[in-house]
Amino acid sequence: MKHIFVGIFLFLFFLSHGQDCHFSLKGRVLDQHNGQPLSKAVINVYGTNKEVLSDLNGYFIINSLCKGFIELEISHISCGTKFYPLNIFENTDQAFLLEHHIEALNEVAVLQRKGADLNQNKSLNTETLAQLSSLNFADALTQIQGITSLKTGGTIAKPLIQGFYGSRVITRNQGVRMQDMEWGDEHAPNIATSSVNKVSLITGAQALKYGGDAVGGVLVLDSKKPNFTNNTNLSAIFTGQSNGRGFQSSQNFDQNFKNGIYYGLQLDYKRAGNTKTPSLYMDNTGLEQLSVSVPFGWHKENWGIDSYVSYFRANNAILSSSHIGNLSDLIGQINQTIPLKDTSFSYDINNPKQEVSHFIGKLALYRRFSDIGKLDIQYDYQQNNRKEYDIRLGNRNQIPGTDLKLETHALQTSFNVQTAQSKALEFGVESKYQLHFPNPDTGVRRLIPDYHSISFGAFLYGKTSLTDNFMLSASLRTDYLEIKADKYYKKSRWESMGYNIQYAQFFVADFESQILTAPSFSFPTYAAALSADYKKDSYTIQGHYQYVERAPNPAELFSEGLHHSAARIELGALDMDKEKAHKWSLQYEYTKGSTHLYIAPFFNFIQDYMVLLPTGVEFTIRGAFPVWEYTQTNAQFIGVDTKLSQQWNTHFKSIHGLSIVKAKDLINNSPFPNIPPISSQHEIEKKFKAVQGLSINLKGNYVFRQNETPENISVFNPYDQSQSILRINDSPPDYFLLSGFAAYAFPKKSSTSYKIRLIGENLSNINYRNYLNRLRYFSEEMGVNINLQFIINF
Amino acid sequence: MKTIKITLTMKTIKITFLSLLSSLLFISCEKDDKSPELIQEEELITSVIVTLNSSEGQVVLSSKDLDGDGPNVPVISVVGALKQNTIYNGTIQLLNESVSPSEDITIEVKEEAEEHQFFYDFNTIIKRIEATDVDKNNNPLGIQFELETGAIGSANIGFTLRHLPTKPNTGITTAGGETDIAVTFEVSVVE
Repeated sequence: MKHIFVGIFLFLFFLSHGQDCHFSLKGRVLDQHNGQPLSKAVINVYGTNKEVLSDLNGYFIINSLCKGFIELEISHISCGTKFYPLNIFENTDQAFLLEHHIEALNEVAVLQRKGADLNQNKSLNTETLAQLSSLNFADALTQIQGITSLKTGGTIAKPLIQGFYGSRVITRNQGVRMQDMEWGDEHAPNIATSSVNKVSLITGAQALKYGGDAVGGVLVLDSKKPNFTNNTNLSAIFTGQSNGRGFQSSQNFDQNFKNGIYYGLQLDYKRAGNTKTPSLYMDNTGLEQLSVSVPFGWHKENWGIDSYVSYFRANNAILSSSHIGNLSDLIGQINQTIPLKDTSFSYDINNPKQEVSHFIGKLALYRRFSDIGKLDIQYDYQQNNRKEYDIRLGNRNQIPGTDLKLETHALQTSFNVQTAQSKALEFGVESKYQLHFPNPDTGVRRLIPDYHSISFGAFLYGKTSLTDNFMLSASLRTDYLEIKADKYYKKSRWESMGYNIQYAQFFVADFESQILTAPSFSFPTYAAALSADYKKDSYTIQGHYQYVERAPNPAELFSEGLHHSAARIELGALDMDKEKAHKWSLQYEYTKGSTHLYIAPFFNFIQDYMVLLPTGVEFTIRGAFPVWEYTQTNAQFIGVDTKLSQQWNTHFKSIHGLSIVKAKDLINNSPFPNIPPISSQHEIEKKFKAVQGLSINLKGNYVFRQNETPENISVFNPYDQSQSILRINDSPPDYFLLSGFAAYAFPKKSSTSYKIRLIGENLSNINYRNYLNRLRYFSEEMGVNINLQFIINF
Repeated sequence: MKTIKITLTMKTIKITFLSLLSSLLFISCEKDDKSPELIQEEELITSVIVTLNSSEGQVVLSSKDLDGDGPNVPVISVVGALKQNTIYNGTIQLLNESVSPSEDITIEVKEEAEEHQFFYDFNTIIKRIEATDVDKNNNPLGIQFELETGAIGSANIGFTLRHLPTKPNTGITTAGGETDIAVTFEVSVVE
């Protein structure tokens, strides 16, 4: 089999021969208002490495362009980023207008300087995201080197950044920090991939603007901004999926006006049924997902307004055989004595299943004060609901076993002081009120209690260029969190944890087997970061040091009880202290000619790292359950992300990537669970001279076996009265996954363009299990899947 | 001119600081002080009572775990001893004693008989345990059973209730489903 792939690689390699790309584009970047030339504007041929700067008179020239459609991305430090589609068929000379003074900066542009988007290795652009639109958000993010996804089955996935996930990753969507139940493993960010325009992973000084607790990093999804032209964009993507017989329809409507008004509508609907491993259907693995969002705004020279409303809803089926009763069931499953139920195809979503929804409403205003700076104020409201349906006794299947509602109000204000172009100074404050309500109608004790919290935060960010090549940025941040819960503890638990003595002041009332308590905590946290970046002609080096403190989340504090879907008793700890993380990271980028190299090593030391670890076994009438407790230890995360890409000629490109993370519990001298194994990616991309608009991409992903896993736990199995090893930490073998796509853009005849894309996943249809999938004990991963995508742009 | 500019600047600074301040003072409607509702777990099984009757007398086995998934271990009691070479009629009763009055969960299991099955585990001193009741599809349910003792000695008897097993099946190892009950009793068989 491998020989065939090597053959295909070689075949594609020889197919690639030079095309004559001799056209040049001369242009001039001008201020739209007064026609003044804009110097140091960055002009990038979208999707390529071709990038130039405009000179003092606004002129630039790009050589060696091929015939056909290109898109120019023009950005300037004090203007926005604008896209200009161009048809290159002769040497072209054109003026490009940018709206100077009006704030339309992409959210992540601050470190952008001298033509190099320093985040290019840590972001996904519109084109890539469109291609990935049929994937869930976390799986799409895995295209960024260093990001993997932690899954519960095939549909629920959360991003894992260099080994960090959950509360250690901040997701900022349209300027709004997503407030959801990220503390749970079986929780996915409530974002439809097709609604995202650009996403970047931010670390270092900039990251503190968005939050002081992002040990892993901040994912920033670009906000909608106006483009100050009268135009209407309508695009639609229709996708059919062979495995699971899924279909997806995404529409994006965008209306812009010259006066700075914009509005839009994004719709996404997806439905799929049971997916199949190479050999059999996995029972109850379908999904249904809906996402709607409406941006609206008006930007004037000195003031502006942005609003955004979005609603996301998903109904995820959970593999039926993963629903287990107790430890013996789990041991049985892990030892494979109970085979996976082979069923037929169905679109039905039965219990166990998860229903989630997320509403975001945002209103943001800005006011610019000439010669002083710009003031931003934003209010946002979010509501996240999650219902988990289990298989229950006595006609209770229609009643969710978990029914949570999390509401958040947030207000943030920041001021961007007007400075010289080479400097920046920004400060801001924010406050947040959060209310969590677990619905008692479930008839099941709450795993996470009722709570409300208030938090305040303040940051200061500054940067300065010491020389033309050397820039420093720094930030400071402080946050204060107060959390008050109303929680019923099992009286026996309250006493066995010693809380009746240690936290006697939280006692409220006694209800025989349960007691009502009102735990209340406050956590002041501090963060500081320093980033330096140095650029020479062919390389850039960025270095970051970051110190952040993270207050415990509600799960880490208050979990208490049987977590049904995981068949384990989970216990938080009221005496949890904040965790303190030091992160050192370096990004080295080297570009020479058509070669691009990226090396990014990192080192984290985390004191009082909060982690859920197995500590023992408890017996109930249902049998034995492993007990997992949130504990604190010291942790070390060390690793590197690398990428090497080579544009061999205008038609052939190869990309190789490698990511390594090594994590260690320094107190117990043991590895941690859920750490991504080493993986390497190899990709070739071929365009064809003979068939304009056709491109083929083939990607191989080799995932090593995770050799560093925590020890398995030895438990007494009451069923056969013996001691058994619960092989819960064993890692599955290594595997090589082949994926790829072929895309064809139909020749453009009018303003409407058509594109067709055939995407293949697990092309060699291998049987494998993914260490980062919590359901790996129960099932193999999905077999071959072919997506057919039809893209229309009006 | 200069004064105007200073005034403007002052005004700007004032607006900025007022905005910053309002962010900090932003306090949402304070949560009302009503305590959350106490959840009585209605489907919790706290007690398994197995009654074994024969002409030779009665033996009652019980396992009670009143704190459910709390840290306390189930309290197991065996009242009486089994007689050798005797056939017993057994009945299993499931109770939720965390609520008062206590609830008989056996009724719900019987209502969903097709979705449930009891499995038994025993050693050679017990000759056999066999379900005597069936669901609508004529598959064993196992709330009622027959137990036949052999020679004297001590024995472990295990009772497992599975929810949604494959029915019919060839035994617990292939039945699948989710365990609702798993209890083991140490009994003695006497002359």
